[in-house]
Amino acid sequence: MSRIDRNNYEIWFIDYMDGILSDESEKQLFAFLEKNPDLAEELDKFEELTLQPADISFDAASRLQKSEADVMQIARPDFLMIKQLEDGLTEAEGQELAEEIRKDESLIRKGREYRLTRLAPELIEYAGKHSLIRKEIRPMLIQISRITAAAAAVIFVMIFGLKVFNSVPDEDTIALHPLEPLPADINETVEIEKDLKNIIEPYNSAKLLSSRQKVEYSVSDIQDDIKRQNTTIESSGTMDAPMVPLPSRGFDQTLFVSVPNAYEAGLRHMMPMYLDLNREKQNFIAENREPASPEETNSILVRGIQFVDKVSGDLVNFDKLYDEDGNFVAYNLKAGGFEVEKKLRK
Amino acid sequence: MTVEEYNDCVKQYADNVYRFVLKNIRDEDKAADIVQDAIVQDAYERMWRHHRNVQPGKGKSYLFSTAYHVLIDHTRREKNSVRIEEADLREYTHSKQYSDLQEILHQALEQLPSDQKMVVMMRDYEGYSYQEIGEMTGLSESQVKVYIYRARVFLRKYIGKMEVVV
Repeated sequence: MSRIDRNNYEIWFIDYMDGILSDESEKQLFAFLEKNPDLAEELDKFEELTLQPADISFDAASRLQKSEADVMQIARPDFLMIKQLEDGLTEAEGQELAEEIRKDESLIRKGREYRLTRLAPELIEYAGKHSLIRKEIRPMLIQISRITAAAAAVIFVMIFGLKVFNSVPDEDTIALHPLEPLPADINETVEIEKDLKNIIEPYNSAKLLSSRQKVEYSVSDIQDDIKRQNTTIESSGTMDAPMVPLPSRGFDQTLFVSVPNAYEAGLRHMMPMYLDLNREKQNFIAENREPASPEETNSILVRGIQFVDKVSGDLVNFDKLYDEDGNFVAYNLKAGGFEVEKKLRK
Repeated sequence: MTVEEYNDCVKQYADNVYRFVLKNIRDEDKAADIVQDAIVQDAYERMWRHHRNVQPGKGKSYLFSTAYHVLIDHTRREKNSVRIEEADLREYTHSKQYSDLQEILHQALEQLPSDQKMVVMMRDYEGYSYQEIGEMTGLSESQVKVYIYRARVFLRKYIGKMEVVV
């Protein structure tokens, strides 16, 4: 701030009265006032100058106040009468309403009309009420029914399932029939001759071979070979003579002959022996009877499981498992927390 | 809410809800019966779906709240809502002489905007407080109060026109 002089002393005075002068500035101010007593007297007058509030009141202020009735845009008497009907009036409001009625007696009729606006409930019955009623099976009941269904399924399987599943299927039993006795003399020559004739004739007629490879082989040639062989065997009088293979005529590689594989050959060789060994076992050899139908075999079990499955809904599940050939090979039974998966015996 | 408590709500409040719906669907609507029944069924169906989360003492409020909002939607779709305060009351007055006050009142009720009508019915038929009506309708308590007071003014003016009533 610049130094105080007679041109700027008012600013110093105002700052002094506002109390914002620093100590240094105040010292300057007081030094200045000692040199200028007329300005010191002026500062004293500044300090005495204060404004006193005027005692003025606004008589219409009450008219500017807003009430709930104004918010609702309803006349004050109407508001009071409705409030009397709805919630009741305070003592002040009651006096206010009474004053309003004294001023305007038509409010008595209005008040009576307001009391009539209260709706009386009608007795109306809803016809569809019964359809809304709900029923719920209690969780305990559900649990009991699940346990019961599971127990029933398990008992059923124990009683009927073991018997049926563990039984030997009928298709596995073999009925043996007595074989016809073989004839004492087998005319092999005739049989072979017939067989060869049956083979060669369609072979030549079909012209499956090229002309170069075509078999020029007649039945009479084969007959001659067979006779020659028989003569050799008879003349020697014994079967120990070394067997000489017939010369290849070039057609044996192209004949349609189905050669059994090693498994079939072994099976054909072993089967008669196997059957002879087990001929005395009655359980193994079935009686000569008609095999039972699949429906009969599984009827009790299937019906029982179907019944349990139907009654229990999702509680019991029975699934049959089949192999590639469509054979029923295993089953899976689920009932509650119980689960059985079992393979059937072949 | 248990199943038993739900069924108690059916026995105690089905008629009330039905009445509430019945009075808010215009009779001249050809499908009024179907709509009224569907709204009641819908209200109870919704409560059944959420019955485990509904407090036992709040069943009636839940039903009325559901019915109210369905009716509001229905009314908006039908575009039947008319603001009475914006219309001339004389349009709704008539010269017939009525002796049955309730009949006149229900005539007047039909002329109210749907939101005013419903809160007045909740107040008079069911005896709900402003706060309860506010909770059910989603309106503020003071807005409910305004609706009711304005509805009373309209109803008084309506019945005041009837010479026989007073």
